[in-house]
Amino acid sequence: MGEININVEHLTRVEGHGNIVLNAKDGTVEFVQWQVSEAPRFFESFVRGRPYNELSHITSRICGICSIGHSLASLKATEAAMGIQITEQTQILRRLAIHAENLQSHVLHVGYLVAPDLLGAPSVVPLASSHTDAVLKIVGLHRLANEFSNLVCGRTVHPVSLIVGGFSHIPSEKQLKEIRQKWVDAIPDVVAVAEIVLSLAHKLPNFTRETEFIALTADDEYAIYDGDIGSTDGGRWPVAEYLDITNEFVVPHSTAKYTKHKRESYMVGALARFNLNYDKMGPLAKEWAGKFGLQPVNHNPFMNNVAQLVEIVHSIEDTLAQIDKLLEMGVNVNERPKYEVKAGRGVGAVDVPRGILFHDYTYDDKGVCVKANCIIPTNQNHNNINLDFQAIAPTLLNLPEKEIELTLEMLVRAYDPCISCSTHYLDVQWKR
Amino acid sequence: MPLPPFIFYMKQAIIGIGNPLMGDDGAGIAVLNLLKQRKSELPEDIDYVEMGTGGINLVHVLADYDKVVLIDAAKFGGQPAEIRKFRPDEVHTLKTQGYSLHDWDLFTSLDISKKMGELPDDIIIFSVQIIDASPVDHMTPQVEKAVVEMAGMIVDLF
Repeated sequence: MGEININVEHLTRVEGHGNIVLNAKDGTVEFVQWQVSEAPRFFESFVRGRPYNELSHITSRICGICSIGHSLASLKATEAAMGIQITEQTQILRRLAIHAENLQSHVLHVGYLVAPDLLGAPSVVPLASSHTDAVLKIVGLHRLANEFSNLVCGRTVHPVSLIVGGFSHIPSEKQLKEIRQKWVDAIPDVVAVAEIVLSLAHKLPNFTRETEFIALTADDEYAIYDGDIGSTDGGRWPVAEYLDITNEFVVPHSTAKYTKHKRESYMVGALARFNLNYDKMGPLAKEWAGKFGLQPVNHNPFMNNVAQLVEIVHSIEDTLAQIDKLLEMGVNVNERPKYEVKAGRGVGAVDVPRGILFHDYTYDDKGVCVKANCIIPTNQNHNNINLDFQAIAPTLLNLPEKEIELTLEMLVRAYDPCISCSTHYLDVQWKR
Repeated sequence: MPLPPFIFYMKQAIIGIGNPLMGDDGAGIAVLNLLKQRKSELPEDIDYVEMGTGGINLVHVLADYDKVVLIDAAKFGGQPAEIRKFRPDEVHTLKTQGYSLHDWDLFTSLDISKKMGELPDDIIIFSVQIIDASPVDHMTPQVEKAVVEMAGMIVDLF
């Protein structure tokens, strides 16, 4: 057996990239590592000195995919700091907002990144020719998720109507009924996409490494918007105690901080939520989990892709239920927030598509932020990815180098990581 | 899924892409903002669309238009702050898919739109060669000058 040297650098932008490094000799792994070299972006410093009502809008810019989640974590932190209570209507509308983001993000990940891997295509572009109907359905579902976000949040990305204490604009009953019907009509398309993924699911590597899963958890719902911090190793903690869970530390090969709790590492994201909250999923989502053989607690990180698919179904089911609840209550489109600005510290957590997200703010008595801390899901996963690499690499050495590389890339993609999306300039070469 | 309604007149948009918090990367948005101030010099029926960093959503925006002008900062091996006007088929993209949805490339969106049969008939891209795209809320003076020039070129285009 000869030497294997893999060094995959995705320099898709200067600010952030992840590298895969694997060196093996005579059937033995000498070195394997997941390296993240992302430049710090200083959002925690940006918000210092800014008034409380600007923070959710600034921190929503941390991510172009999870901007609703960052807004909600931010608003919850501010409300916790100032003791602001929100109405039941606001709570329901915020659940709709996070479902909208979950649907946007999961549809894109499953359709645009996972499906090409499973079909052996370099990207979604060739699939638009070979699997036109499936791609049309994916784009259609994403378009509907955007329309849903636009209705609830006032924009498809970087929400504007989510504000401290409530909403600046509230959708009408007529609009809610219309979007509800569109989601009902979209279920056959979701099922068709799920059938395709199911037919390819045998291609997901059968790899298991036991780890701890951390997610929000609640007694009465599949926790995404609200709950306590839960662990599959047992235990439940208020979100205010998040620092005892995340235990951030630095390593030489990553500019992103690592985290660990009870074990060497933990995982967050759809699979973590599924593992902790399966009992509270909708019936159709449970049915689809069963078709994929996905049961809690599942320790195969590649099944995070399937957990996302199952969550798409759940998010639609719960969207219908939440809209029904709102309509039954009667929608008050004129409801506006009422609160007093106070000094204090507060922590807000939501479980965004990529996992549990924490914002922690301290305000002075004028409502100006004096300290901030944000812990994003992807940083909580880097350590787990690295340990997965160490476990899976020795099992791959008999494969051709390209296949090893693809498996490691698929493993990273299964975590659906958020590595800097801060710049979007083109990088092109002229055709001669 | 509902398809866009059949349109009997040409729908056109100017679309700015980029992040104003990342130095020269914000050039596309800066040009768009200048053009919004010069609306009286442009046809009335133009939509002004700020895409920010949500490039993946471009697929849905393109579906609504027959003609679009896209403005984005770029690295194309040109002189600092050099301006280029080109059509999508004049370039190869050097970006790769990477690991995540965050690595989305404009040209992937254009490819998907094409395959979906939703690509506008007329696409013109205006780019400026970046000098510094680091976390600051202002552009380099050279790119700032180029932004003004690009806005003028786009007004002349119509």
